[in-house]
Amino acid sequence: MILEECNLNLNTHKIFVPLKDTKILHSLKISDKVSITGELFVFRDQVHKKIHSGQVSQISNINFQNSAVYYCAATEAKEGFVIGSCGPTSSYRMDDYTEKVLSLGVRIMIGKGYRSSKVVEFCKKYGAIYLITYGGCGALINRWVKSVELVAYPELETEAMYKYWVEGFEGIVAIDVYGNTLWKNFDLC
Amino acid sequence: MRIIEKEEFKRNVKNLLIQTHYFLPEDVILAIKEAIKIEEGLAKDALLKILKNAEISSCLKLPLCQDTGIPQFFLNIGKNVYFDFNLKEVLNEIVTETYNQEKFRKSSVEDPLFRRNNFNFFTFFVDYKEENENECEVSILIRGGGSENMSRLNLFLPTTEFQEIIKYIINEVKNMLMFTCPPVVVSIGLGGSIDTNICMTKKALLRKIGERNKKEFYAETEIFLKQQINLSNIGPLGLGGKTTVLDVFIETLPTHIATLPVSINLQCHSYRRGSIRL
Repeated sequence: MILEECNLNLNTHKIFVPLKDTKILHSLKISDKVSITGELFVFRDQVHKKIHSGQVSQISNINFQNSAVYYCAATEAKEGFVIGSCGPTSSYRMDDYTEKVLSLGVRIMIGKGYRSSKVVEFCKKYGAIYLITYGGCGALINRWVKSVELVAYPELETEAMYKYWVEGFEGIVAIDVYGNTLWKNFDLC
Repeated sequence: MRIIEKEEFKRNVKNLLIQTHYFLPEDVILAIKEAIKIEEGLAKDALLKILKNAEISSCLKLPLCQDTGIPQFFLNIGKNVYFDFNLKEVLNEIVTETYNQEKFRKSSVEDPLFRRNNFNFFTFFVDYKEENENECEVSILIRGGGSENMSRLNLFLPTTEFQEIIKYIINEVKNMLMFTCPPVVVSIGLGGSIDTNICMTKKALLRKIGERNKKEFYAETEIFLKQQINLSNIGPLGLGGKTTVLDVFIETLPTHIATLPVSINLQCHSYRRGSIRL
């Protein structure tokens, strides 16, 4: 019953990553729903800190141009699965390290929750967007991940850098390239 | 005297710990279903996704949330109950074996500063029952980092007007909401010493949604706070909407004449809790 009711026919933009052309990002506005197919880089706190502090020899050959990063540390895959539960983590913890990651070429960030005004400015400066995906829904998101590859920093275990091949990975535009935010009309005090 | 044997304890608590990660409690599912009736668009979509997640989790045995967190045990032990084992050691065995067997994420690090080697950390609190002297009740709360980070403790002057405390609570909760996964349950502890205050606030999260404080004044305050915070329009997962808070729980303890501790704790919608009576 629930599975059927889930299709609310919200207008959804389909995008493929890495983007061939970043023009599509300029047509996306806050509250727009997007469905992503392609490759996501997956890393969070500790890899951000490494990139920020210039410890990048392990990733110097990787092309991040027009790519998407997903903030996540999944549970391990059980037999018959490519990955375990893999929902987003709180994005605000990456805020201080975000510019360095965008300067590598990343144009789409996916996580959950609020971002600082600094990140809003970076989105304008780099023509990047931030998407919120479904926090606390790691089992659901597991169904959108088709394969997984360990890319770098294996010593970080669950927090290492991975690449996920995803199909129909859903998110909502929370910061657009014009610097609008989903939370501009909220009473956040 | 009632002797609880190690194998019996281990089998039952292990089973409870596993279930907690795969099954969203019935009262939470009902509260979300109620919320779906009043939401539309992205908010409704998000709530439906939460239910779908719960369905997939229980069918495929994928954890409800990848943050399999810190398991916190609350034991309420009858005074005639005797364990024929070391409680701390056996809880450690239960957590380690369960997390390995089910491939739950080891979400802790051994040293807070020198962050290496992911492993399992758990906490336990023991209290003694006044009734049912031969019974032992074990409750589990799984605390993810996102919820744990959204905690506050403030020590007010004992002369502070209650209105000021209410204002503080509403402001702090609104500030924290966008950093966690709404709809949340807000737990508030008033009084006690700082340690028992925070423990009380955590323990209140074992209450079922809709269960009110026994004192009328606090019960009404719970409802008032829920209404006020839901006016924020933050909504499910911060996508806008009416359902930001599923419930508010207030608990109180006696406190020192010179102080008035107030703590707030947010619990995300991935409300992993469970209880068993042995």
